[in-house]
Amino acid sequence: MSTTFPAIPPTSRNITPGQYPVKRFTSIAGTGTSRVYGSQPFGASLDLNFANVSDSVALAICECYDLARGSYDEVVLPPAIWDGCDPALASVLARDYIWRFADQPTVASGVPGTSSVSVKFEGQRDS
Amino acid sequence: MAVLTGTSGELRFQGNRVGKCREFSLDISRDALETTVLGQWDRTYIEGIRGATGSTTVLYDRDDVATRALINSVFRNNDGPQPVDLVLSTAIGAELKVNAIVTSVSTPVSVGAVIACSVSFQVSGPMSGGF
Repeated sequence: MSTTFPAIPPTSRNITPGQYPVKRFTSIAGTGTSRVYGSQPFGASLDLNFANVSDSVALAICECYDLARGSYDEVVLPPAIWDGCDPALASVLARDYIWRFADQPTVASGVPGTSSVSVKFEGQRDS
Repeated sequence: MAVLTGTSGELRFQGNRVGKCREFSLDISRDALETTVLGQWDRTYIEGIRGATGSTTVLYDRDDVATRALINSVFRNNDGPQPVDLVLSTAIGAELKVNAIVTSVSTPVSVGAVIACSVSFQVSGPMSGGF
């Protein structure tokens, strides 16, 4: 089962690409060899910030978190999340990760009816 | 309608006219909260919180109740914001009503000059009326 995240362009977006499962074995002489245990990176992180959005937008994000039951279900990120990014770069960054909430959304209330929301996702791979 | 001058203006403190007001001003500002998102080239904003500060210069007249109340309010504690009316024209009723706290009073006294007290105030809460 999956939940679709609201199609809202973020104010800022920070993504850290995943890492490859590489293990370095070092001998007592200091020389070593590296082994890779998979062909796909994992553990990417994606931080989204939605500044000064209406409370209805904040509600939609919180409802998505509830529907996904926190970090349990997959969250499908719509193309609007990658607005402002070259499609080729977005494709490399997003890859084929399964995105899940890495943490609870943070909602900071501002002027009446307005909030700023921060969301953290983790790009995972299921076996 | 003619352009107004200072002769039509009036300052009231706690509902009483400040008798010898030389000048007053009110600075109103409002935050602009940025709502620009990724993919846009032009910044967009929504209205944020509004605030205002004001100042006035009054000639010291011990017999004027409102003048003394205005100046002495800086010494009072726990009174809360006091009503201040800034009237542009008493004839047409162009006035702004605010509640304010006096934040500074300056009383320069010099030889050969009248005592003109500068008073600054911080507006608290909503403003009513308008220009």
